[in-house]
Amino acid sequence: MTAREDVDRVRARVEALPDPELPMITLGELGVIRSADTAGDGCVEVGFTPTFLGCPAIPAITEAIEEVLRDCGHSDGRVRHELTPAWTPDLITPTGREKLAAHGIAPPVDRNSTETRSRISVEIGSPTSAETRPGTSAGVRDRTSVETRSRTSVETGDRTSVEIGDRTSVETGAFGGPTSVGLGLGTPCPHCGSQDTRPHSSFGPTRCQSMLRCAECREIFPCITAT
Amino acid sequence: MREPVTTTTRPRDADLAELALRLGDDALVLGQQLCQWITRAPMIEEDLALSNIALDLIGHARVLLSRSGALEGSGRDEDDLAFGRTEREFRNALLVELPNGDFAVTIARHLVFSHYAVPFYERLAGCGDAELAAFAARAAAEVGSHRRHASDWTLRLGLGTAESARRMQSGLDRIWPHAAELFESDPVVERLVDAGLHPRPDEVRVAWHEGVADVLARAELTEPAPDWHATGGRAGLHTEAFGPLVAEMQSVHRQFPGGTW
Repeated sequence: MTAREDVDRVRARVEALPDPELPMITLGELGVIRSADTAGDGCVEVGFTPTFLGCPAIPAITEAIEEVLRDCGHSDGRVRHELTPAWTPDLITPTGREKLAAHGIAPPVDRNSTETRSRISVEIGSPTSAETRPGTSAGVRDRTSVETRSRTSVETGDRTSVEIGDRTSVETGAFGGPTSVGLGLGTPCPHCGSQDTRPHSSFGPTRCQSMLRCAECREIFPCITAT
Repeated sequence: MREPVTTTTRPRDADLAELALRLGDDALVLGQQLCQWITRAPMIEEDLALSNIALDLIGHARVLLSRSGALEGSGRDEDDLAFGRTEREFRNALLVELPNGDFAVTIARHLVFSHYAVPFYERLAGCGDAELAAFAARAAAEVGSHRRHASDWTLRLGLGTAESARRMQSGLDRIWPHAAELFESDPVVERLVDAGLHPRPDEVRVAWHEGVADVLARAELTEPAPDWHATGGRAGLHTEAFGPLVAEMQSVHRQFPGGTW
């Protein structure tokens, strides 16, 4: 086995490790394993990017990688925390997205489609717009309604639903528009597929999940988020 | 006894170590304070929100304190710095050690802090220290979500009932004299700014004020105009509330030094 094959074997085994907090997907599918290489001093080094700086799974993941290194005969192997470029949910693989959805966790709306959303009014009717969000069967009309709702929340979110304890105000968010995009507005419901979903809470059961509510089936579901 | 801090540290590293220590202490103390809300917040979503924000901040503190220890060359790690220092050795701004008060006071404190932290970290992300810059780029995104949370609640309380607006205003009045310290300069900051390793405090202050003034106007709240401002935290002079806070934070470590679970 060449050194390259050896390092690739380490990487494959590290990528197959389950994530401690989302055990239905692997570290490879989550997109947090950045590299596996032989460092200048001859030691094997695995580059790992935490989802969030304070993610409590960091020590468990680091130890699990170290165990793989030892198991592969690299007791002097190291784990390097790579903070840059930062992890984003865009790095979750298609297989990872499918597995998350099967477990009721909405995969993220990928960044490309988030960026195009601000131009949606221009794109309506154009054949390319239906391709901007892969993995869903959403038609152009659905996208239009998402954009309309986003505008509505900008106009009405502040004053009309702000009573204390009024859940509506929490779900809608006093900030519409761009911040709602950050909350995952338009993320399809993993239960019924509807895109009529709204932010419920920016913070969920783990730091990398926020909570959304589906207006169709009324389920509250987590969505993977970058912030 | 701990070995005395080595004196061979380069001046630039000593200043950077001090910067990382200040930022790390801000994050650590604020994170510790927010943890006290767990099971006491107005709704379960807020238990999760405040504890997740605390988690981010403690994560930031771990990176920053580790970096500070490495830069000062003393061999102190994050735990030594968090749990092994006395009250007078902490360098956090006084804002973050102010007691939680009611929910509105906590939100006011976080409004002031997060609107400062976002522009600060955004600028620090372009600084000349690769490790601090990489940290700051990621931290800016994370504190951005804290800013959204605090701003949303300020609006909700300001525009809610007469009582919620009264409490929010009262929280702001309580917190505001502690904002100015975040933008103070001293010889350490001046040297770092000159070396391209620190944002200009005035610039950060302008960005901060634009942000908070916008939220307060939309929330129909009055920006307080205090006739005094607090100072001293960066020099280790803390408020009455800080001693008990540090004692609680360090109690387990003191009882079981080096303990592992």
